[in-house]
Amino acid sequence: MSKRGALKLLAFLVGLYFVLEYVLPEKLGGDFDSYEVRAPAGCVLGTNTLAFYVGHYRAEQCGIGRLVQSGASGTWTRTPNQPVLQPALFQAHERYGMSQLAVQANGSELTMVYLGKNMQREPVLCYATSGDTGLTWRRHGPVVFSTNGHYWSSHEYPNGDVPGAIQWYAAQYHEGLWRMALICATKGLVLAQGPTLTNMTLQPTVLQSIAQLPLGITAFDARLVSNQWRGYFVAEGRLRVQDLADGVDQMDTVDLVDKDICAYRLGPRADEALICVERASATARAPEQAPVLTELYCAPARLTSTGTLIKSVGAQGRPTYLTRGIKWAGDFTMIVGGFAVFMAVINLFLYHSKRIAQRQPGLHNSVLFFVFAVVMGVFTFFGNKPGEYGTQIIMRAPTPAAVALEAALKKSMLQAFTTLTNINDKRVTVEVCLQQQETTVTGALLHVRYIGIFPAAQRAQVLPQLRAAVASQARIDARAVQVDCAPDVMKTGFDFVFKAFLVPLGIATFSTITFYMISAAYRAFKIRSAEAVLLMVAAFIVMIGQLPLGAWLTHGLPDNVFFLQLPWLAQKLLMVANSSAFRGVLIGIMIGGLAAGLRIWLGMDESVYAGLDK
Amino acid sequence: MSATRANMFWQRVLYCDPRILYALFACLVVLCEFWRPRMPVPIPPAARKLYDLVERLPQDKLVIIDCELAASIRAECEGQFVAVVRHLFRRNLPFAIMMWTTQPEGIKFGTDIAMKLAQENGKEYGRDFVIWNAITPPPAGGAMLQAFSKDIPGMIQNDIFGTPLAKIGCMRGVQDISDISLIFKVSYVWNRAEVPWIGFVQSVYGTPYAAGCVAIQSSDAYPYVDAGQISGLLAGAAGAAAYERLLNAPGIGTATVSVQSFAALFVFVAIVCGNIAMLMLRATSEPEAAA
Repeated sequence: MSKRGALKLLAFLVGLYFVLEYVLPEKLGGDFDSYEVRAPAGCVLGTNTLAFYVGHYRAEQCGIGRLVQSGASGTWTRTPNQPVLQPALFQAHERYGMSQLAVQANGSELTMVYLGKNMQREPVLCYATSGDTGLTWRRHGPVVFSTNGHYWSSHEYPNGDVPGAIQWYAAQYHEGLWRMALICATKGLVLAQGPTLTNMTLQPTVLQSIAQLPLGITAFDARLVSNQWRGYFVAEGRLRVQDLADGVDQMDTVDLVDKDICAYRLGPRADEALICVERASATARAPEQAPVLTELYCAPARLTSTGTLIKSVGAQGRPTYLTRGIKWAGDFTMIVGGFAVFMAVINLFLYHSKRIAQRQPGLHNSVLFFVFAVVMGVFTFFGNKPGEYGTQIIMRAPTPAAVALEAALKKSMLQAFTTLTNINDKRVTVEVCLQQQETTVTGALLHVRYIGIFPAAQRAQVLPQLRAAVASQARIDARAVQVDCAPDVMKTGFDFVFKAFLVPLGIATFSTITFYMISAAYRAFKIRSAEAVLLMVAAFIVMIGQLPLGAWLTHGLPDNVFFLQLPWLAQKLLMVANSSAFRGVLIGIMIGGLAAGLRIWLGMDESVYAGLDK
Repeated sequence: MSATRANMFWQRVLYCDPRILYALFACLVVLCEFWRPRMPVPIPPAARKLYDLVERLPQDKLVIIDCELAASIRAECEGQFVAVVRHLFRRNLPFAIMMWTTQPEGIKFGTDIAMKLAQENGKEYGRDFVIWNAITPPPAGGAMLQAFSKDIPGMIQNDIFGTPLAKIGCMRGVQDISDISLIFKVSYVWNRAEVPWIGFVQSVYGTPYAAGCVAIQSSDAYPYVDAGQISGLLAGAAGAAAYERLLNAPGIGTATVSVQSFAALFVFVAIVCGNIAMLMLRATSEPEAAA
């Protein structure tokens, strides 16, 4: 096979891999809950004890599963094997899945409240009802809250007047009213109640602010006890039960048996709770599997034990093995990219060497190229250490004495630099070497290295303070502390070449464009036709309208002629006229790009392999 | 005779030494730097969209800032980067700065600016933000993004200080693209061909994508803004100034944009003067031709 043929075949195979990896899923078959099981919620409906949970097939593909407890044996069985409710194509509020289920039985009807994730992955509280023990569900859209009696839901605010993104919630149907406790981001705990879930009235005051709530909540539920909300918070490896009205704990916090409880919902019976537990896996996880193992348990409400396992992840599908190689494929493409950059550098070296060797005109530029390449290379290699920024105190020779003193030494030494006002002056590294005899510190040597300029006046201010700090912390005489202060040549060199050459040259090169543009505009932009006038007017509106000058020129216009304001006109030109025209261009470019890409992938384009033997 | 004198005058105006224009422009810029006129900063809808989006981002996911700052675009784009980082710090949103080996200036600028802002805002590296190790964008960047979306720690591996990502606090639980709440790219262009975020990440996984770019490159981003594929756009120094106004924290963008206003006005004045000179030259030439 010729070189050209081999390359074509290689390019085709690599492209085929990426196309297949893009198109095919990570696995085929398997249960809908083979990735994760989360968010359990349960209730008793007549003689049936039911539980519902969110089963994930992959991270953002899920459905709600149904479990029934057998009366005789008490075992939980998934019935049916398919999800009873799953995100649908045109259901925007739950486009990216559901979480935090809560199920309530009202007579023979079930109501399920859940947090959906919309197109922007924001939480939207929705609900659905079922009349056949949860086998089929009817969606009713978002739960609507209001503070003023006007219940409205819009695309931007689907839950109405809710004061912030809903992070946790508890819902209960009690004495003919729906009652909810919501924990909203940035606001805290608020209560709501209403006759239906589309007419929920929010109480005006926040019951507990975010600061008053337990830290690090991973799960939350609440129940009405004697008409008062009792909250159950799972936070930082503990269960806290408290009255929500006053935040007083009702029982001692329970250290959880399993620290990684990520869901908690009271039910299906009193004194029971359904929980989701995350566990690290003993074996390495394949890409099509979740990084942690999740399991659902029915536990005592106070979580004195993990309880009974009711559901683990479903049967795994067959992996397509394509995703398992994607990391290697990604690394391969990055290596190819690195080689391309390397080739470019080699080409530059060859080109400039040839110019010098042949003594072509302008060879001084090539000489400068090599000089700066070597200088910048040396300074970057030895002086550019990304780990170091600002003032650093480094302890050398980590003896026990040094380790014991490290924290206190660093704190007191850094104090010396806080008196400096210019942050650039704080780019100093101090290496501390403690001299010891057995366990006693007898002296210290400070190597102070700075980048750039460390003015003598500031050195005179800081160095004695450093000496005094070390002497004080190590309990030695200040005369036993020697200080050696010098610039860090490599770091200073890198800093200087970067800031004094690279940055100004880059800015200057780009800035000259402006000057050329002005002289070009003055000489060449001549209005000789109607189209040129139109272009000129549009350019003026778009340029000036996006700048403060445009806003200032027309800010005095009355509101009823807003369409004459330059910022408004500029946005309309960009978003309407410009977008429409450019869409047509983009479609043409993309179709052409697709055709060109297909030709190259299928080896039909010979120009890519120009220079290679056929 | 007077027509001839007028003709010569307008010829001198039309074909004047460009250095005169350069000198006038330079004087105007220097004057504006000292004068710093205060003018209302308009807030484009695209900048407002980005601000509102960041305000609604969840705190349990990571934001990626794809930083390709360079010296040549500092005037327009550094303000955007600073404003967005400030906003993320203010909202306590963890973020990762992603950089490319082919943009060495971006590595230095991104690191220095982020560390400086962290010091000013009392934020801690590792807990509140991370700077990923620079990676090389391949010519077929889509393939790399395909792999990146499925296994972020596998592709990046370490941060810029050499620490494995597994040991960094804010990277805990970040596995794939579903753990990312926003990708914000700050660069010369809003979407580089080697790193096609929209084609391989935003349109496939729905991850919000926003961009900050120079004003001259922003016009072809508006179809994507209109379609919702770009969730926010900061165009040049004006975009940075608008974002700073929304944050109520004037900075580089606000300082630059007032000077830029008068610079843009100068360009139009130059165009108008050139056209007036052309018309007057034509007018004074015609009587001579008739004569």
